Amino acid sequence: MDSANARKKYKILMLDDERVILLTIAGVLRNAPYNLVMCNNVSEAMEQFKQGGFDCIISDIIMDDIDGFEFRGLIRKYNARIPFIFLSAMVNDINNSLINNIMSDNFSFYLNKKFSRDDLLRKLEQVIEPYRAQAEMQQLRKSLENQLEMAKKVQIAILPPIFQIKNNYITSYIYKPKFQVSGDFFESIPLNKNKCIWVLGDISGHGIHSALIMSAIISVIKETVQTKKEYHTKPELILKDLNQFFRTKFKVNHYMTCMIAIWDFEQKVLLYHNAGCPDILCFNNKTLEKTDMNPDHLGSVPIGMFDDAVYSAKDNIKYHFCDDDVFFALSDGIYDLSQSEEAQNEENDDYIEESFLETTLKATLGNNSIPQIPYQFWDILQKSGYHSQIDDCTMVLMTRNPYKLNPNHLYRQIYPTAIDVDTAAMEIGEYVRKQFSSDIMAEKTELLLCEFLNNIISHSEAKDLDGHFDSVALYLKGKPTRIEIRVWDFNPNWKNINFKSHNHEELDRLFDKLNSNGAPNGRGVPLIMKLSSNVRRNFYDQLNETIFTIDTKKIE
Amino acid sequence: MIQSIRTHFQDSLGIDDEDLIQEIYAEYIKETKKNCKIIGELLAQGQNSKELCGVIHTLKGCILNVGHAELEQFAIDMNNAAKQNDPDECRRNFQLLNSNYKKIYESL
Repeated sequence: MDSANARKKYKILMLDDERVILLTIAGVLRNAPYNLVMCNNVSEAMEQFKQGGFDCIISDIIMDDIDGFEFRGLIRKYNARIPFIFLSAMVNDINNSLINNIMSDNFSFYLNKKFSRDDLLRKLEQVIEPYRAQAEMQQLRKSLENQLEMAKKVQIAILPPIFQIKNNYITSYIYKPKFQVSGDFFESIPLNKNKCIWVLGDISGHGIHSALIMSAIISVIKETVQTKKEYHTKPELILKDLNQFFRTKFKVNHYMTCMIAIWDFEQKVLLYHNAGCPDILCFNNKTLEKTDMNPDHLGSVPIGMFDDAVYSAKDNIKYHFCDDDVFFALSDGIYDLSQSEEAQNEENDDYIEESFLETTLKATLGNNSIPQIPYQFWDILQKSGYHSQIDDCTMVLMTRNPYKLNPNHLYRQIYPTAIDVDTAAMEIGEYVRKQFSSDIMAEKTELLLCEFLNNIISHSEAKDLDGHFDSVALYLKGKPTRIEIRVWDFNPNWKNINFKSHNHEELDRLFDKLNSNGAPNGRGVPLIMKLSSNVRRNFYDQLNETIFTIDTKKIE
Repeated sequence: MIQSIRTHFQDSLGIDDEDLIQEIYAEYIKETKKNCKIIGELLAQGQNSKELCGVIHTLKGCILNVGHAELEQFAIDMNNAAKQNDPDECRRNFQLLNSNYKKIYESL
């Protein structure tokens, strides 16, 4: 590019069927920072415009093949905001029709054909600069949105799996950022087969800066827990280290609430230290009674507020839990949910009542659908009108895995790989054979799970899905003549499938269509329907629940 | 070259490229001559058609654009007369414009 062209910052398209006018404009702009593309007919102008990069259009109004307003209409199909300068010798616009026509578009302007160099340059500057600024702003916004989208995926990848079904315990959580990313965080770190540490927190504010701090904190916590074994019984020391890290790295303007909870399932002891989070709620899953684990309101100040903040063992809370206890940790964003949009300004007091939250939690208890409880809870809140979020919302559930107490209740986490699906189907089939002494139910279970889970996982992999599509959980309970299997997944492609309202052929076609993305083809719904005596589906926010019933009846 | 046009090019439009000035000027003379001829023929046919209005509008635009001061008012008045469907007034202004144009053009 030569130096003259390098100075041509702006690109202008001009349409006029009079060569005199085109030449005059070209003459005026010759030594100005404008690259002028001249056209004397509309088809040439459209062709040029489609090549892109224009900052402004100058057009005559009355022309032989098209009028300027029709030309503007054609351009607006491609660009709604590019400024239009209409050149007209409109000395006597008696009924204002031309002016009205020009002004009917927010990005159209007028310049008299008898113009001076200053008139033209001033007009161009007046219209192009805001357009450029707007276009740059839009580009920046788009880029930020893309980055946020990526940050959201990274953050989800950092978080633990939604469902963690271990020998001793089951956790499940729901994570709802106010924007794409969140300052809430949760990590569950196994210490040995009987112990694990929970870390829950909430970085002040929300959005990108909170999400970045959250990522750093999770790394520090993992390193601390892995390298300092002596901290495994001392939650206060982990908080002390975190406070030091926070004060050193982030200094002012930020703080975080944080809770460290150490679970010992052998001793059935929960030891936790709360630095500013809402306290853990404990309900009995059978009696639905709530236990106040912290009647003395022990706890410490949030992390990062003071260099000399004290995190002492005397502020730890120790609780001996029973097998039926279910624990909930809710971030303060849930307590700030509101039915009213005005709550966004944080001056509204129309927030959710604690008593309503507790009633809602109790409503989700009492059955054995433990993994779905956070989603069922959120679904009830949304349906009750609490959809106005002023902060990030997280809810984590922890309970003992009931399998050890009653082998008729089997929970299993399934990873989104063909190998784990096959392994899980075989293991669960074998479990049914042993537990209920039924070869038929064992074979049916194995086949059904293979078919159904392969479909879920194939479709999850077939598309770049948004969210925790890799989390699948299963629950099985039964008696020798009948078993019930519940499967929870996040695959949005399955939302449209209703086993009741479709006939088999329709569903088979739907599966084929879903499978056409390159995933291995399943044997379809007819087989699933033959294997199960009943299929029901429920949806809780993003979570799908599918409930199969299998009996001892032979397959024809 | 007509002095008012040169002054407009140089002082008002800031065009200092003599070759370009000559090119625009030649184009203007050619177009004006062509448009005057068409207007004369249409008026002689007694028409006050959309076509006549269009040509008069084009002529007026060129005259204003190049700053041909001696013809501007005639062009404006002729355009208004055509828009108001007044053929006599249109014809009168055209004759004034045309004779002035010829007079100026011939004097060069």
